[in-house]
Amino acid sequence: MPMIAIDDLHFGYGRNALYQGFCAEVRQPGIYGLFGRNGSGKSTLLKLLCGLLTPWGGQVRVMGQVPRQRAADFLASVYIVPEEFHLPNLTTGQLADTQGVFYPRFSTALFGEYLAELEVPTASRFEAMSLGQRKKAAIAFALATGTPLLLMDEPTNGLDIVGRGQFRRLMQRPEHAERAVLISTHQAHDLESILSHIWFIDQGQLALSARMADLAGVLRTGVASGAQDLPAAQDLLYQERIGQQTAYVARHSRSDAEAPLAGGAVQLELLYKALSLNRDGMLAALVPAQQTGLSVEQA
Amino acid sequence: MNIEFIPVRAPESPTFSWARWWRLARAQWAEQRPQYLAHLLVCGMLYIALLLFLLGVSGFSAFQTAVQVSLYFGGLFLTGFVFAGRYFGAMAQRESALLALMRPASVFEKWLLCAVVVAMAYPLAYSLLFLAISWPVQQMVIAVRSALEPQTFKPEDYALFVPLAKMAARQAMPVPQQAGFLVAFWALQAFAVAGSLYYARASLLKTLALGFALFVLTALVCSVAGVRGEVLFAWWSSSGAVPRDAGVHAINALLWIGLPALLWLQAYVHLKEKELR
Repeated sequence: MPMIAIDDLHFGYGRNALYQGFCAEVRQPGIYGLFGRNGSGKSTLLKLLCGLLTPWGGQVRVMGQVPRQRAADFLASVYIVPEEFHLPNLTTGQLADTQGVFYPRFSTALFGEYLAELEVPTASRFEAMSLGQRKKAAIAFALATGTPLLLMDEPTNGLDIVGRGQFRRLMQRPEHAERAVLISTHQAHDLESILSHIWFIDQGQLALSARMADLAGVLRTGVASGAQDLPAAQDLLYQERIGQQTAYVARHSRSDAEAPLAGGAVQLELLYKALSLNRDGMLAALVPAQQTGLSVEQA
Repeated sequence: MNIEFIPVRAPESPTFSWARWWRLARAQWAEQRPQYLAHLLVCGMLYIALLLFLLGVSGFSAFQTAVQVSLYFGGLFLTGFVFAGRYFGAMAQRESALLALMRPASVFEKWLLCAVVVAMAYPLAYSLLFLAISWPVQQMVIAVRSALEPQTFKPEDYALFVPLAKMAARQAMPVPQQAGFLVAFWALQAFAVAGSLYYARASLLKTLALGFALFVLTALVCSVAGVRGEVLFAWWSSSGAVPRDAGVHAINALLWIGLPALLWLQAYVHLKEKELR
């Protein structure tokens, strides 16, 4: 049973259709990065997945259930951290005591560890904390719930640089290995080291769904100090000037094919820009690679 | 690799589980306790201010049992409407609405907790507060009036009004009539709860305006149709002015059971249909 199965989803606001035949599936645990331009419907998708919105048409199933029914056991298996979040004015201990009990796998011990890692004061009530501290507390609680599915909307917004590093460390802890985590974000750089999959949403459809490892086998990103260092023109998919240098996204060349991962990790910010600004070119370049595990859909 | 969600607790009924409902009640109490206490504190202060005004103007005479009854029910309807309208106050803001909607409990459990808090716990707390303030005031009024009018003063006129308790005082409202008021109060609360879930913004005001419009419209229709008040209130009337035949019972059942039930059902439906845009 897939953890998430979305088939022919139609949804919009008022008369504006946002999703028209959106299909996606999550079968494996991992950290899924959800990318797309402003207004592409990333936050809406998260709301549809946890039953806060009703699809116009199509089917959405999460953990085998219809989210919109908001059944109690479904709600106990999904946790969402929205971009604009609310915490009741309690201490972290009271939060664990009164809210944690709803989640069968909630761990007070882990919640304490996460709070310590994120340096959240445990004696204060949430109203006495800064926005960043509250955000960290919300993230710590979300991680401690142990829900099989965790949805996060811009989780690193409001976190300082140290906090973002702490967040990455927490996400990589072994206790989350069996969870599916969907993170909607524009902060690609913050998360590229921890993502296992990416979804790129464009024009109401899933334009690209790929494992990061597969993507790294097909694409390479880098910075060239001069034109002579750039990949061959036929491999070059996107480039942009950064001062005196040029950042680029390119296919692995034939010589790379012998060692497909030589290019290392894909820089998501560059990939994101490339997909946003040269979507068709990028997708055309990726289509032949579908056999390697990439799922590419032309919208 | 596929993932199966393996609950570590014994399976619970999808519709209602005592354990889950109790967790919901605990969370609600932990979060809302300051607001509930603040609401009661404001009610108490308003009641004391009103009493000071009334007793000052009337020279300590305006506290007969009938006045207490009016103050009790007037206050109950007014503050109970506000309390009910604010129970789902979290729904007014997207952030807190998400927390409320995503809390792992069934819609029925959330609705039931609302009904228990709003329709049972609140009238009880309000009544205790009313008695806690009224009793010393009544003692003071009796002392003052008996000192001022030792010949004409009748202490039984100033008997303490205890809701739903049978009283000997001539001016006290009969218990069946009080029960009728209580049922009307529950219907009003259900209307406030349903309105707060239906309207996204300024729900209390909009609900109040809608309620007033419906009241005026109903009163007009009843007056044009020549509906007799004693028929509508036959169940609660002790005068026996109207013979209680099947038709009267049917009308009263619709009005006093059907309408409140329908309004609470509407609140349930609005909670179930609530979305987060």
